[in-house]
Amino acid sequence: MIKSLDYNTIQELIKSSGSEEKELRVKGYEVFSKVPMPMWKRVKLNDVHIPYYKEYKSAIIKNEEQDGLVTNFITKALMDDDLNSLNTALKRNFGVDDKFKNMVLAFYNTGFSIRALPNSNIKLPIAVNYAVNGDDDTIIDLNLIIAERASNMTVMFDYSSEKRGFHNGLTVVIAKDGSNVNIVKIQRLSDDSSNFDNNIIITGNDASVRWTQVDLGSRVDAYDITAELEGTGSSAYLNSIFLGTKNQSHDMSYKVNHIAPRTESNVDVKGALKDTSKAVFRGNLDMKRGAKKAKGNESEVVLLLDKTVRSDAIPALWCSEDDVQANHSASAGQIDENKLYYMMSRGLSIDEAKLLMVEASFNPVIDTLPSDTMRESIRDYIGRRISG
Amino acid sequence: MKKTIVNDIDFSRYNIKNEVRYSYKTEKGLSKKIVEEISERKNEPKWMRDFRLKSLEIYESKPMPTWGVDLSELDINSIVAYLSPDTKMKNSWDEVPEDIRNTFEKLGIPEAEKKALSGVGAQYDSEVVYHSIKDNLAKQGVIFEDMDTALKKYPDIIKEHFMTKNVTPNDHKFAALHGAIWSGGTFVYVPENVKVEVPLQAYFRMNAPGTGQFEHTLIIADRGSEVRFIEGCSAPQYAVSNLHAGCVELFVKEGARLIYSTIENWSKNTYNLNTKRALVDKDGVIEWISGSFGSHKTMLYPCSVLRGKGAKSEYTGVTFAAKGQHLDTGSKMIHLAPYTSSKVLSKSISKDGGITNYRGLLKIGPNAEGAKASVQCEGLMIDEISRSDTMPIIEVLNDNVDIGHEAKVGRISDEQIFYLMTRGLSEDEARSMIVRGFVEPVAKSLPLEYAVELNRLIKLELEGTIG
Repeated sequence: MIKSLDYNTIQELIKSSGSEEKELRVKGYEVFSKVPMPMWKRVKLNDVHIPYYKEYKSAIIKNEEQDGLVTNFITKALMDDDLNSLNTALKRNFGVDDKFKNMVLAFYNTGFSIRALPNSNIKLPIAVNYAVNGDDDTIIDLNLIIAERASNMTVMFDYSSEKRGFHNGLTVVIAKDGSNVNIVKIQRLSDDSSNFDNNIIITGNDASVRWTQVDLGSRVDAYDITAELEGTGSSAYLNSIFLGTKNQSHDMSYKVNHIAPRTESNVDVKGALKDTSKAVFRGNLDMKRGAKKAKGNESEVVLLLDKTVRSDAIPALWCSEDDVQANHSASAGQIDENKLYYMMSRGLSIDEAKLLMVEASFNPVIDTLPSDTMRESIRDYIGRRISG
Repeated sequence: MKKTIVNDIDFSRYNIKNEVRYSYKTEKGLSKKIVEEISERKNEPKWMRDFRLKSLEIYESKPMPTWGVDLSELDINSIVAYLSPDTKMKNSWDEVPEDIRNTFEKLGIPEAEKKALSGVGAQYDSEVVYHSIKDNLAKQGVIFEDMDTALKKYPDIIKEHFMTKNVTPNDHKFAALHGAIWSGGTFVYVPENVKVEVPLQAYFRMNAPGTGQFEHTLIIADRGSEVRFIEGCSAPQYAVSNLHAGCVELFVKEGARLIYSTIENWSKNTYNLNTKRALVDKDGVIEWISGSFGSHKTMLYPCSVLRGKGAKSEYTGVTFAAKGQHLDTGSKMIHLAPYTSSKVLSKSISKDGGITNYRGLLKIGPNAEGAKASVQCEGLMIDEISRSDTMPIIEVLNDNVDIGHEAKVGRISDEQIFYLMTRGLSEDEARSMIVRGFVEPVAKSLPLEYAVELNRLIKLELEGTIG
């Protein structure tokens, strides 16, 4: 039986669930049902099909059994603690759109709660794979990552598919005092898929979050990463690479709110666009009053590989504190002809030369990925996309 | 730690209030009747009256903008759209009524004309009260007229160009408002290959409280010509809101060069919602120089449409927002043809809770092969209760381009002060030098008299100790 994203489905979902889950889904549904489907100016949502509710059973987590680590399927049991953390996060303004954010809260069908205990050092990267697999083609994931005081951990998400799928997710990262969190998100869904992702980072004192976003797939792709730097001396470093090919549309939003003193952030986005692809980069660097001695940087560099691409950038800078340093920059252009000429004189074809230039731009980010096989497979994937 | 103190701009010499004597004014607010009255009084051709009424319809059909500055306190219905001073237009300063002449003299207008200008127009409330041009320019065929006279003398050119292919009433609500109740302004035509060495100037003055000024400036720089136009604006401070919704339409033909400078100094009860646009043909150059110091709230984004191959645009702007001011300014660069280039340099200073916002659009169309563009925005915050925001939009639809955008916000750094002090400057001198250095790129592009004016506007009094 087909289950629409409606109240009946919600009723069914919460029939046997605990009060925490009930609260979350019902509240989420209230907003979801009220808010209209957004009409975006830059990335059109015409090709996006709003899915039916389906179960998703193909989520895989690796390296989840380590000392100091507690992981749970969020669909099995939503703990009281989890709900508190989620509610803290949901008070903030983040996400690509209220419709999509609340769709996850109401209808999530998979997800993990990952918690590093105080002072724990989680050595191996925790790998979470969400692949479109047979009938499991609707991924609505809710992820909660909590790094307790002075803990360290790396979590890697991999969204992939060979066939059409729908992904809409929400990830909350709470880095408590003195913790270090490393997040990697890789998105290589198929060319007819839709991808939406709503992410929020909240930092405690001296906490540090590094986020690496590798955005390669989907026909329509929109994600938002919001960092709330609330703890004194905390930092967020958001590095991203994106590749647009064929008729892909990528809408990427980065918001960094410097709230506490001596916070630091760096948003560094590198991309390449090919064929008739389109990218929108939205950077919002907000230095709030009181964020004394904060430093914020935001930069985007796009390589334009074809005449038919479209690249938009809105790198906004908001400043209501004078004792800060804030910079942003954006640039776009084609590969320097002289460099191409040089490489071609060395026997490379024009496509190979272009690929080499894109790799040169992407490598500093790819090199930071936590596993060899992952690095290799990403390089392969990019190579195929650019040459193909 | 003591903060740098940057004084408010000294507005006293702009704050001359004359008794409001008028020969005619419309009722407050806006209606078909008022628009017809204005047109009737000006004895306009039918097409202009129809155009005004059409614009009024468009105005009424468009919602108030919800972005930019907060316009909720602006009540169009309490604004007098048209107020004609009790004088006819004169070609000699001596004939201008004494109080009006005194006002302009205090603003330094006739003096500047003697020394440094080729022609001057002075508008007082809704009508131009003085207009003159040097004989040698007139002989070369340069036309410099007030808009109402131009409408009578050159109806064909005006009909062809007036809000038809540049700014149109459909563009936005305040362009439509302007179309309905425009009055006064300037028309300039520079014939082919004529170079006007000395600038032309128009000075716009609002004297009466609760009025609006809606002057229309139309400049056509024909092939290979060169001209520099300066506009100055000011008004005394009143408790009620004044509204300025002017419109500037510039046509830069093949190989022509037009420099358009504005020193805007409206009083802090003025809403300044102005529309400026230049259409630039092959190898033409438009340069915008913009100093925004006054007004309560400003929304102003001079637009350059680079539609001919190799056309160029430069925008240099400085914005200074003090207490109670919200100045939302920027530039639009639209590249439609190959090898066009544009450059934006925007500097803003905010203090005492003032808000500056750079809002810009850089668009590279699919035919703009080889376009080059750079945008640079810098904000200087003098204290922690002010705001400085930057909101640029970049749209690229072509791969063969070279574009860059950079922005930074900060305050005067202690390192800079320290360095200059090690070189023997006092701290005050150091601070003052840094602020002057900050606005220097703008000051440098103004004619000398105006650079002096700018320095006077940013009269800095600095005190402080090492932080």
